[in-house]
Amino acid sequence: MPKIRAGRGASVSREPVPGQEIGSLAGQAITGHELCTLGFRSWGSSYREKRLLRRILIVDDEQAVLATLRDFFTELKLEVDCASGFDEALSKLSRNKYAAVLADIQLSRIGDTDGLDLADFVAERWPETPLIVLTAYGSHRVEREARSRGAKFFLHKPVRLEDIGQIVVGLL
Amino acid sequence: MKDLAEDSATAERRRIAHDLSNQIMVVQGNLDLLRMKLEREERPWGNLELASDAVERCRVLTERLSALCRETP
Repeated sequence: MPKIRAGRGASVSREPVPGQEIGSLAGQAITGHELCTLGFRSWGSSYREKRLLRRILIVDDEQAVLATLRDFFTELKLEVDCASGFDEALSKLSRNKYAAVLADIQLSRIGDTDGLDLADFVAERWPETPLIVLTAYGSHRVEREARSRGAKFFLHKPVRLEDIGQIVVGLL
Repeated sequence: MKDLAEDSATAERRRIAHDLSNQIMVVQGNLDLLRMKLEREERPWGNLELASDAVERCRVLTERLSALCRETP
């Protein structure tokens, strides 16, 4: 599993207890049970601090990955938009404000560009929006390139959902 | 000619590795979601289907990889 650096607010003061409500997000209760069953034992308190619904954008050309990530983040009470290509992602970015963008950098099979170009656009037009890059081509060269083009985090697929979740919640 | 064939085989292996990584993530992710929803006594057929389809795609990908290994020295 990848080494994860916790974001702001991701530290904990106590562990969530199964079945016990630990706070609310967008008016909906979140229980320690929900966090524990996904293995989120070390960062439950960050949820207590969330008061507003946050929306994220996921960009991936693999529909099954999109469906899985959408389901996961919806379980975490986040609002999720999905895009399966570069143009769709830009269109959604232009119309909505996102707390974070998760993008697979290998989008070239659908569009004529890739996620690194998306990183350039996000850095230039929405510099306040953190970009998390996912890739199944995990070379150090690609990671350096992504980071130099504004990616805040770089994750190698396959990555556990709880690890992506920890990063995203840390950014909210 | 031999170099071209090797480049092509390398590119194909890379594509397979990429696709396998995606499918493994789908299987693992949906198993996590299944566990969580089953504990809430839900009926997460969608997650089961996604995981099952991904395993089937893994099977096809490993067949492609095996064929590639047989073809290239």
